[in-house]
Amino acid sequence: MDEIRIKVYHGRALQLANAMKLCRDDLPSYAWAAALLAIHSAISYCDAVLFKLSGQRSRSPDHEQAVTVVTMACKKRKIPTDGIKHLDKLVSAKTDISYGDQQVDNQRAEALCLAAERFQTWAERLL
Amino acid sequence: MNAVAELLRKKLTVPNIYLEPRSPYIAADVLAVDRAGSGDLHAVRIELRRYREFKAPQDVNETEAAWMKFIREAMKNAQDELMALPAHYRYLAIAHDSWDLLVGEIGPHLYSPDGIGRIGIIAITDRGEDPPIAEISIAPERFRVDPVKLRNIEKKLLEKVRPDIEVRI
Repeated sequence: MDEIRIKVYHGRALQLANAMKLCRDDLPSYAWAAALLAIHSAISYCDAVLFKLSGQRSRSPDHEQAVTVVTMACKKRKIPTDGIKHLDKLVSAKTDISYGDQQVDNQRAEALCLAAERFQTWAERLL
Repeated sequence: MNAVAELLRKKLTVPNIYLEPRSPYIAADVLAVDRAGSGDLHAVRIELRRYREFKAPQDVNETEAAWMKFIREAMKNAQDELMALPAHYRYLAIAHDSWDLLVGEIGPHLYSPDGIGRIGIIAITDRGEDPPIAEISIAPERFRVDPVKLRNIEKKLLEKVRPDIEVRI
């Protein structure tokens, strides 16, 4: 059952990351979409990793909480936590990117895509 | 080689890419390992150099036939080598012009003798002063790989040698 759930979250994360890649190829047209997809792909990757490590994902609607939970799960299993800083950066930007009234410029979108790609690299090694 | 690496970087998920990996276990020009080094192996043989070695006959009327014979032989050699490569996905990268000549006759020879797997074709277009571009003309199908050979590549290459192109954490 857990394997199926991991596949569901992993599959979702991959789709979102691939869609982010497409938007990233034309940032002037899709900066907002790329930034949102970067954040949501990382959240799905986090859920997949948590399922893999502990058999459950974070239930908290506060995604900052997920950063703490995944860090603890990794430390418990002596897994390097170096990729989690990118997740932290992404979930910190979530409210602003999703609901804020400021423009997302190409530079910010690119930085979020890069963070998502690095978190994805870290997560893929665990999944 | 960069055009092929760029194509794989876009097509795969955060791949680790090795350019001309110096390993007796896999004779590929480009090797990409999907999903940050934990996924399938994609191996590419690039067959541009051999075409440059072609020496045209003195009689110009014989040139086209000699050229076709030459690229058929080069293609056959490359296919034989690719069939023996321990990689889940195997590609032959050739010049776009050569591909246009061979498109009709090469198809059936790309399949694995056991029916599992097909060699993909990457066509490379020379754009003069602009960098060349690589495109997939025939999509590859996944091959079966001997687990012992795969383990050798993992232990003696992937775990020891840092890729030339990777996403750093």
